[in-house]
Amino acid sequence: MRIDLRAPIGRLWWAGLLSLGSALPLVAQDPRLAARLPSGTAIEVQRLIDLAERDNLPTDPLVQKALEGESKGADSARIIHAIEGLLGRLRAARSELGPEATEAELVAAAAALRAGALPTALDTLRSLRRDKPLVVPLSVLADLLTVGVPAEEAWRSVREMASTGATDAQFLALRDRLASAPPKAGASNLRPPAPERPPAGSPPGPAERP
Amino acid sequence: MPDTPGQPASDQLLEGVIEALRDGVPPGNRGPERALATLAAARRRGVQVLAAAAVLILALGVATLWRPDRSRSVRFSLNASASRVTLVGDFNDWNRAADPLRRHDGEWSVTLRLPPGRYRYAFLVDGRRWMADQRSPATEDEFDTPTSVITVAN
Repeated sequence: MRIDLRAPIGRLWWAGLLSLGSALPLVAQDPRLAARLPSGTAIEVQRLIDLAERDNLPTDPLVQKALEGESKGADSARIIHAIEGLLGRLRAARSELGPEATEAELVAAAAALRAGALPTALDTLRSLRRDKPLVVPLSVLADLLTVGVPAEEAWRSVREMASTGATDAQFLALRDRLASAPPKAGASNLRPPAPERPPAGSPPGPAERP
Repeated sequence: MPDTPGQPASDQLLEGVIEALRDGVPPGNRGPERALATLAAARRRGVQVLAAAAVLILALGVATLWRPDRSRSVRFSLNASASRVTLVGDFNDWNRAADPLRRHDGEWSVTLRLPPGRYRYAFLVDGRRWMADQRSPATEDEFDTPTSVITVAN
């Protein structure tokens, strides 16, 4: 079928197609976002979610981050910033863990990265536990770094357990043991979360010390 | 059948057929019965094939969609002086009303079934005060409220 744009009917066709195209993003929007976020925020969050989907990343963690922000009364800019950060970490996690990584693994990996683990630590864990889920080791690494266990000690402990084929229960026991231990001299137990992008010259993360 | 003068041949043929039907099927001619039996057998085979196909499709669907339920019961509890406490987190769309805790012997608690994974959550006390779970690790929070994290093992 040829559409003559000079004809009024042809113009109508194009107008119809354009309106349909512009309406599609609204149709595809997650209903939870539309129900709970201001429309401008919901559209921006949906744009980030579409990017995640395009990159074969899980989208529900991003939705949850948006809903968390809304529930806690955060403004739009803060919600968007938090989602952008999470999206970047999910991308990095996917890049290190590969296409087979599950949503739960990517979420735990993103948390580990947020807590200060280096991306290469994820790859090392993947190679040490090739056929086992990584959710618990990654989550334990994130917890240890978050509560202020020195990065070197946290990474060494997790890596050693992974290399011996430890069970999830053993990883959780390790976390409880290390996290409840009094902080060593010079190690802060209130370490702030890692910045989105480590500043130049920042000390190496756990994965750089084998 | 005798030829009747003055009557068209087609009419004669038709009358002949009617007479034959009136007389019934001659003894020994099992053709119609066999035809009916063949039709019935074919119909039975068709039903059997359809049933087998349905069972096969069902089995394939179950094999494809079925996932073992790895969810675990997780009990969340809080000791707090409050008139209302809810559990809000990644597992309930951060819905402030989805999972209210019940008070028993001074302790608020609720039990959920969660699949393996890492979940961020917090308690909302009296609809306005966020509290972390002292029994679980704290986690970073971009929105400046106390938040906990729980890891459900595989």
